[in-house]
Amino acid sequence: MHKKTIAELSAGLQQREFSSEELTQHYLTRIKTLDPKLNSFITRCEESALKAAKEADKKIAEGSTEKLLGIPIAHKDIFCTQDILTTCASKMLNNFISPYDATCASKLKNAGTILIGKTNMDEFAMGSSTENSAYGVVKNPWDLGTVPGGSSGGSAAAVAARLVPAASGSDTGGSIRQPAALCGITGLKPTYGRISRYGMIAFASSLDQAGILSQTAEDAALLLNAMAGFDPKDSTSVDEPVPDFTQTLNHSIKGLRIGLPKEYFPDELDPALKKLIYEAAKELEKLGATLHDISLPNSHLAIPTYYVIAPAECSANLARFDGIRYGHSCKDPKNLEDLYERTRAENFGDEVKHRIMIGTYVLSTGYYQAYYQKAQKLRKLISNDCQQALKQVDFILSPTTPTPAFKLGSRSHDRIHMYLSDIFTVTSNLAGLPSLSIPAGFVNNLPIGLHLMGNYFTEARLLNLAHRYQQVTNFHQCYPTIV
Amino acid sequence: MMNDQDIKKIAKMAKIYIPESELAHYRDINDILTMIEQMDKINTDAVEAMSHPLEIIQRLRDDTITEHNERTRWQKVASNVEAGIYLVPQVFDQVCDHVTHDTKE
Repeated sequence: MHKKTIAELSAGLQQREFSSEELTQHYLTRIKTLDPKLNSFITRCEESALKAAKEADKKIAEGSTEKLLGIPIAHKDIFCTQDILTTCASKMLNNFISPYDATCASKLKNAGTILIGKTNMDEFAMGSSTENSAYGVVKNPWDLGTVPGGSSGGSAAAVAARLVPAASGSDTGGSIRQPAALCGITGLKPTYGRISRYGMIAFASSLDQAGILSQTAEDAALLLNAMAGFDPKDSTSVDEPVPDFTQTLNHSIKGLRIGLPKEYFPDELDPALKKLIYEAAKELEKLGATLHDISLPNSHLAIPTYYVIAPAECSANLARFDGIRYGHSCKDPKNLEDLYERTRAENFGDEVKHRIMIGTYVLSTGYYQAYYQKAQKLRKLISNDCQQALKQVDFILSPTTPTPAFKLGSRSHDRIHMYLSDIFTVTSNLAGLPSLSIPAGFVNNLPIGLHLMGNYFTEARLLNLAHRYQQVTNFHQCYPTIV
Repeated sequence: MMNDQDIKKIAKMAKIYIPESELAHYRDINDILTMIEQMDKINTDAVEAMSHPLEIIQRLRDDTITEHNERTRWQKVASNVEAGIYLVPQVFDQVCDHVTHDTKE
């Protein structure tokens, strides 16, 4: 059962091949048996999941044909889930039982999905390896000595190991797409504003977006149907019509123009990885797309720009964690200042504290213009580059990451090298454009991903492109031996 | 670039306690600042700052009540609450002079 996609599981439930209760128990047993090797879950929701599964079976028996009814999923532990621990992988929130559901969690619940657990992540979504969690590192199921990527590494590892058919994630600089690539699965970051951020604990508000980690583009489309849509509770939610993303999956891609930015294929790029990406581009060409050379001239500034804006916004967003209204507090504070300072020092991890410090510095008097305002202007240039390119082509293609999964611990003391993992992904966040990663082959027996980025609100066409590629390749059907 | 005094000052602003013994650990922030300085290579005098990825303006709504007091529900997760009030450690160290004057009168 666990090797089936959501589309297949949905058909299986409707045809009464198995029940949602059997399916949910199957995944819960797999998690109990295999997750000690991966550490991809922080919280398992066994009792509530089985109760919800029984409810789903009743509705199926009564004739409900909702596509996601009875399907187990997991949520990255950045999404508030009512009456369930929501930690953001931080000691700061190790006692936070959320009093409400995030909008996207609520929408998936209403669509009939079964929440089986909350997945591990880099603390407050800051990281590219899921080594920054207060709940231990997550391991890549393809090679337990390597990282799954981050910050949605728990979701990626869980889906790759088929502990759950799909999971939610969040993406601020690549945190869905990069772990999807390193774990050999599909990861979608929609247009900024497409999915509500209400109840998604904020890291960098102008960059954060909720998204999906799944086995296939078809599954991502099914989930996006449920998650997308205007939310009045999120002031940045966009009132854009939500199509049925599954309806156009099989459309022809003849005539679609695909651009390969020369800056994303430097000479230093791993030759085996580069070869696989070019082969993937050729597959799309065989399907009728046309390939074009394009340029994103300011792309070399994307990482510095991102690592000013994201820490700046994080320093503001994490100012709310003071140990008073929620979250962990330090013991025996001498005064209010001491309460704030020691609560935050004791309960934020090292990477989080570093980013808050960087953010505070770049926003401080005397430095704001040189750093933050400068970065905002460069963000405009980077976005303009994308818009210029998207006048010539429909989609932009590149590798998702410069390398396959790296060894655990190999970059945890080398911040710059770690940050450079995001080199191909951050542009999509800076410009607010939708993008995804799909499996495109193996380098040294480790999966790598193909990255596709489109213009605003082109998720239907993006998923169509990815789905057509997955119809002529089988990389998305590969799974690690742990499965 | 930040020296140890700067690190202490920024830590104070960020409300994060960093003891003297740990200041050295934060000196690598200067590596990030060096990387960030690549931004200076481009002249952006004529470029408008972009604070938001989409060309949208802040949505407004009617000035009507939509939310209701759910203080009990939200305070369930607080560490120290009494009679609907969040309790915090003492803010002021001593009674202010003007209060003493008022009492005398």
